[in-house]
Amino acid sequence: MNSSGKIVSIPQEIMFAIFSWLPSDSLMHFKCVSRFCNSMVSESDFLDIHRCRSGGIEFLLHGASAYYTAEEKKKKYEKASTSVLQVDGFDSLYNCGPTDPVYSCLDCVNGLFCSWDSSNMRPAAIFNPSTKEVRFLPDPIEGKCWNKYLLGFAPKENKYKVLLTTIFLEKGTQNTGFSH
Amino acid sequence: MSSSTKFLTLKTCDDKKFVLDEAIAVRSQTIKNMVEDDCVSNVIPLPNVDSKTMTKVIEYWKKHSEEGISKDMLMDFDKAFVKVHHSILHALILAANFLNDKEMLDMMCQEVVDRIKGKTPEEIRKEFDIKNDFTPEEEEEIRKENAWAFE
Repeated sequence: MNSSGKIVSIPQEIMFAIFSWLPSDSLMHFKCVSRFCNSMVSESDFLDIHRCRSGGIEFLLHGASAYYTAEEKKKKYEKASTSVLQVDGFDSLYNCGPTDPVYSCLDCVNGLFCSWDSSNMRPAAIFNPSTKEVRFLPDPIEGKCWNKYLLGFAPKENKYKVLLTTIFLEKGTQNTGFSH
Repeated sequence: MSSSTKFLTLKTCDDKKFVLDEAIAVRSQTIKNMVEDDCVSNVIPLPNVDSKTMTKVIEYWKKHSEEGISKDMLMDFDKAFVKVHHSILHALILAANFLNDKEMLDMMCQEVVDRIKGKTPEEIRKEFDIKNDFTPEEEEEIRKENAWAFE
């Protein structure tokens, strides 16, 4: 691995295997090493692999006043350990007190989470526990209605799609689709 | 050594020959397939592996084929085995991949993981001689995006 591009000669699947065993914080440090390293980690195939098996099992935990991710790590010759990391990006969203969180609804697909606010005050968020990234969907429709989001994955297109069902109190139901 | 021991001759890309007990050489799935398919004549060419790397691979295979060796001894051997310069580590990964020895490949990859884990970007660059080709602005931006990892 050096600046002359030797790293490239390692088959991609091995590079992916190596980086899929890295804990997320080390992976983010690796992204900052060089442009090439950054481009590797940004590839969507890679993120899929990492989500599936980042050295162990990943959980999204719903704490009393914040979200946490837990990563179970297994290593040869060592005991399995679990690290718990608070998700900062989500803390500010979770500010209505433990009994009435804003983002109280969750749906999950392939380790991605879609979380939304049933009372319709804020845009829904898609959350990736592996990379701790949060993306927001467009603002919900204003007015007297309830929203329900369904997160799905279309393997043929390799895209994640969200179906938003809006139930208007007066006018009936409307479905909206997003894809990424 | 019994009289039924079969030997294989492996030829690396720099034309060096290694004579090896077949029972050891078949740790490589690639060689095993060749032996099973009966397409081994006199010499097995290894066009992607040089002799320096092959010496290390054979050292590993022999140690892991030793009879009566304890788990602790293998563990110590493995730990010492992976403590090499990153260029050798790189060559060993390519060789293990070509020879299709999953156990060895996993061990080498784990070592790369351990060398990256818990290090700052500067330390990772130093470890693997990687040049930082970001502009200061770009680096600042990408660090900001992933600020949680730098606390």
